[in-house]
Amino acid sequence: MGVYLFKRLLAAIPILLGVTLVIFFLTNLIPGDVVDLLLESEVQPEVAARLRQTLALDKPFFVRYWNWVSGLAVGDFGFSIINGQPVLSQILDMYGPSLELAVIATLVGVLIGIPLGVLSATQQFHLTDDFLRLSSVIGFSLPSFWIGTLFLLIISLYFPGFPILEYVPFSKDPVLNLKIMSLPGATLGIAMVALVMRMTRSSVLEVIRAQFVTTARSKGLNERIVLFKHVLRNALIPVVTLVGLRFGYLIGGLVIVEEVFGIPGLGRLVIYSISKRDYPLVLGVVFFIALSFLVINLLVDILYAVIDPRISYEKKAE
Amino acid sequence: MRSSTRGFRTRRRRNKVQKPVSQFKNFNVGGIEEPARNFTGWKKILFLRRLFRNKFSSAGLIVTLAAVGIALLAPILAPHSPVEMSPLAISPPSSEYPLGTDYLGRCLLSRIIYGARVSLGVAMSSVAIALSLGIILGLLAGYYEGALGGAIMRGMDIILSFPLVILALGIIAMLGPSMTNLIITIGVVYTPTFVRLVNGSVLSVKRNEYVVAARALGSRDVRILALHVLPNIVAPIIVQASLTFSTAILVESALSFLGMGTQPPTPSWGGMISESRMMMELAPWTVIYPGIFLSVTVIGLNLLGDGLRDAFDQFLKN
Repeated sequence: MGVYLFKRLLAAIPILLGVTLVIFFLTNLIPGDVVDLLLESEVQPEVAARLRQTLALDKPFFVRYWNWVSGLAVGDFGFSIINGQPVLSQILDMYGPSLELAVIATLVGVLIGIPLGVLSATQQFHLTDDFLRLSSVIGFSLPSFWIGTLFLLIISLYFPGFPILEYVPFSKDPVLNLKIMSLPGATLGIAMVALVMRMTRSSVLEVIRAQFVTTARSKGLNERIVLFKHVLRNALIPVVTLVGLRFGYLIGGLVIVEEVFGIPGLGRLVIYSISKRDYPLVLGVVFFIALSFLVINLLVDILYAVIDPRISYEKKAE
Repeated sequence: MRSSTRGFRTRRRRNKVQKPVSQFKNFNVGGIEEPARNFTGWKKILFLRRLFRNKFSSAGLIVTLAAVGIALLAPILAPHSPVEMSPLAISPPSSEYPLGTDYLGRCLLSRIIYGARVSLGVAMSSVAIALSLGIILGLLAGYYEGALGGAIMRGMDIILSFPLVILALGIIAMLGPSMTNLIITIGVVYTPTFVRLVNGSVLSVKRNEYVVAARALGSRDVRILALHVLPNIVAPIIVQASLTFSTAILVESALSFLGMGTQPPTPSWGGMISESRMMMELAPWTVIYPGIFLSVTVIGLNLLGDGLRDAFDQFLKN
């Protein structure tokens, strides 16, 4: 395990470098820079040039790239051009709501999706299964921005007292915070439930035909024990992977859901920083998101080995 | 492997054997079975029967065909021009305007019908980009492996380490929001999925006897790839393309919703929902109907994609 972990971490370094290069390249190709947006158009060109000089925007591409990456290596994300705040502290401020939303959506997905998936599999060829399968396809086909907008519409038409406009952090008022987060969480959760349910169903169906299940049944075990002790424990492994890998998808969903519900999270920070051409902020946020995505993928792989002892990474790595 | 192929080719030239392979074009060489060559006549009919015995995939096909029909026949079906404004702003559904009008007095039904052109057109073009790039890069990476394959696959790893929506936002910010750039962006972000799929299939197919036989007969690499490898990996590619098509529609509408995609006044389903949000309490139909068309189209495509996958799976099992 240790060797495997080390190799995985080592392999992540070139990927991470590639990621920084792509982010830096893309950000630098965004037409128009912060100086154009900050200053009036009729300002003298010398003033604009001086501002570019102080912001180091006039240096060559690779010099700026090196400055940025060498800063990242020691945890220095730089400073926002717009408000002069350190980028990292801004990211950490906005990190909470996004993480909370992702956790809510994942919990909803697991807690509702797995039981429904098992039900669907055990009812194969029955109407229940057909219904659940169709609902699952509908669930991950619905666009989250539309569901979110519909939620807001229903609230504003029928429940005018429901709190949605002002975001309150969890640490200040947990109850109010959860109330505010319930609708965005549900919006993201619908797709998650649908996907987890689908994966659980197909995974259970595969395991239920395995010989050890027939053995368990033929030795007279209660069907419930067979289902929970033999089938489910083996069937949940791919589901864990799915839940982990869906995290990237969740981050994408966060951008949209945060925009719809006005939640100050990382997704909004991405859109805001791109629209303001605040390069250090764009670079920092996108790098942070890509980094967390990589870390989560790594954790999923490790977790995978922990739950399934049949998988031995040392052998594979050799 | 590559060098041996070259060896055969040069020997063939030296001996001046003319077109030695073409006569085998439609035969099984030396009794070697090639799955794709067997997929003819009654087997195709069996496959289609299997696909449409399933009520879900039949429903999916009907919805898909209807959506394509609406998009193609937009000028005939639409009662009004999609951009023409009338003094009747936000009027509820009536006989003149079957789904009502939006905040600028434009006929909602006509905008939805023309919006189908935009949504399906953008999705189709971007899937075409992702598909062609993915097949070319995937074939190269899978067939030649080595440094070229490694470089291609690592590049794809880097693209995949970004959450899709974040990467799409970055690229579109760089290119500037427009329909063409939206097509390019979605095409690029979905390319790695196809590259991985094609690469994996090529790796498993290229060890088969029929590929070795083709090489032994002195076929060029291009011929082997086009006539022996590609036809035998086409099933998973079709399935993936149909499922990607539906998510591409979702991404297109989400980016248009965020104001980064199709620009007004061009009607797109995501953009229409975004524009109508301000007035949604007064005119709920302006956010509800475009969303219904969007959702139903995506559901239909997903059902069709699922059906295709199941039918191919069963077919390959038998």
